[in-house]
Amino acid sequence: MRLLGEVRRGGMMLQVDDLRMYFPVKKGLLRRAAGYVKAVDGVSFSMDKGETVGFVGESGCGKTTVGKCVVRLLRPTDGAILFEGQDIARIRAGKDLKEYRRKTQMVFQDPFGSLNPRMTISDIVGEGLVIMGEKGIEERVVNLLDIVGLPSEARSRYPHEFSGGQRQRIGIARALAVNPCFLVCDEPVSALDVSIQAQIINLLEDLQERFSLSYLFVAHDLSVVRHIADRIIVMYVGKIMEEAATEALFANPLHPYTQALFSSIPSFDPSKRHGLGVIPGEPPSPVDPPPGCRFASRCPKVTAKCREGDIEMVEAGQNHYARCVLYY
Amino acid sequence: MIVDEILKIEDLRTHFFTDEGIARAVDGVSLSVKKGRTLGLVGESGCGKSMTALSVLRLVPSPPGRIVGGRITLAGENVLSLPEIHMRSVRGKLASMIFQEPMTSLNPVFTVGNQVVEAVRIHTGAGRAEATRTAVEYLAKVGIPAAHERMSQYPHQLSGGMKQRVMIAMALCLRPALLIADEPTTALDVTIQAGILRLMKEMQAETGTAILLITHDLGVIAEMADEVAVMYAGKIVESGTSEVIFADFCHPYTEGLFKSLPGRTPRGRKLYTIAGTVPSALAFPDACRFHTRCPLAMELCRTKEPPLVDAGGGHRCACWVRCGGAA
Repeated sequence: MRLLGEVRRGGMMLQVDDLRMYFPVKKGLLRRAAGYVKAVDGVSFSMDKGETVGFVGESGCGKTTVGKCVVRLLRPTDGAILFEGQDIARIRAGKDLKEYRRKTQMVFQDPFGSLNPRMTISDIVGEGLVIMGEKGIEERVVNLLDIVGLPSEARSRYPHEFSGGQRQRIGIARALAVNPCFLVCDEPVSALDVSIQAQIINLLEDLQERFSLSYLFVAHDLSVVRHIADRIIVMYVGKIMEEAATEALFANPLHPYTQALFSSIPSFDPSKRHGLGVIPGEPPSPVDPPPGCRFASRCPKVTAKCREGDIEMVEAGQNHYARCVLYY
Repeated sequence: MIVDEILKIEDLRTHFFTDEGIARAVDGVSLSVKKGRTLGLVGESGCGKSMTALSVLRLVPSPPGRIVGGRITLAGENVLSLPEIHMRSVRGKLASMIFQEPMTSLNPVFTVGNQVVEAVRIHTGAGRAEATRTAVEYLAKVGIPAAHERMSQYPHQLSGGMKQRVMIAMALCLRPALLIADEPTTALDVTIQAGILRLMKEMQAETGTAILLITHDLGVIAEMADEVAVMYAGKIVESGTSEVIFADFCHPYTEGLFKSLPGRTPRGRKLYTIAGTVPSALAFPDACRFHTRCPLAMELCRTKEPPLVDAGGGHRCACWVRCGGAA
């Protein structure tokens, strides 16, 4: 049993400061940028060694984009990403980025789309090692397959010969190949059946224990995040709305958006049907979000203050932060 | 026979004849759905739940699929003996279906209005003006704001939740006796899901439609279903009212499904897992099909198929270990 006090065990690993990722919307003959999709718009958070931080929110809220910026599959528009003290937000492809890839890797959502169908499992899992110029690759691949619970015969086979759960194991083996200390898991179990989902969650937890990994865990399934994460960050239209330790967040969600999100989750108990909460309206466009709180147009507790200026993140409880004027 | 039984499936067998062999995707399924009630059909991918639904509308891809046995009675009609030409009036009027992916279920080159109006006109023979009125009425009913303006929009201009609402409007505007919803909210966010589920309930209260709800999500089942049937490898292994299934499940497979839910396991504790993987339909095990993964399996389970036994109060379970004492 992991206790809350033990969470901050290894000192700071990652500090993200005012991260912004804007994607241009191109229009017209000259493909000029007519505007920007502000997918991530001023996100700051930090993570400790050995910690699991869950990012939750609806599709399009920017949670996956945060993950991709942190592993530098995307080069952020602005902001700093300090990894073990070094700012990796602006480093370019080359030696520095290659070094960074030894420390951070990603596990993808779609176990069907993320494995090259024309490569053998051995080539897929060993690719990172080849790039890093390592030796004894074959041996290491067998070892990695064993770690994720696949037989060594899997080496010479192709992705289509495996089920969804097995493919996700291959994706995890590939991520672990270069011995990283930090993994971004982007919806790693959402494409899997319930019984297989449990196997992969257990595997991720075992690996964390065994290799002292830190996880940035992106998921829309709140029950999965609740199980695996030490701390949860709730995002809405490019901004963090609330951040707290997992149990504190579920026991006492403070932001009206988090409250609305939680009330829309089915109860798993037919004798306690509460009628699902439905949020009126639709989220604002990330191209031109309104000033003030981005949830204001749908919030049941909206006030005049909510639509003025930037709403700051405030500490509304012990280590429990919310971006809402109710807690000013 | 009970009058308000809208759908009755008896011993349905839908097999696929492929080059690699015969896949017994649905192999002896019996269930019934009553007027104004919701039956939740749960199971993992490949267990045959979608093929059961497609069989009701005779939409099983053929070849290689074929309904090789059983009986399906839909609002008094024997579906399997009807000539194909009559199936067009069964589909839509007696039973309509909502699919998992609203993105691919609408035709991208026609406006939303065009598609809903077409459905109404074909099935009711109404004129264009009248059909348009019906379409707008139902689009408004399913909570699409400015329904009249939305009629002239194309599917890509609508969000996923809105598209699924259009599909529901299209399915319900013909007032079918049975609505088949195959993973209607799986592709949607929980917040959108909540709206769609609430809408389905409201429409059911208003029209008395029976719903066959197919999903792998036990949370959705808990919220929606009056009765639940759990499918594994082409067979129903347990069925009963939602209250009974969620509180007093009996079959080891149902137990495994519930115990592996992350929401039901305390943090820091390992999740329960069902050993192995779902078998391929080409190679379902003999006797009890769950015996290869079952922690309780005994000799009888490997040699003889357990029947669905009544465990009292309409609760039925097929397991030699848990409820096979009588046999």
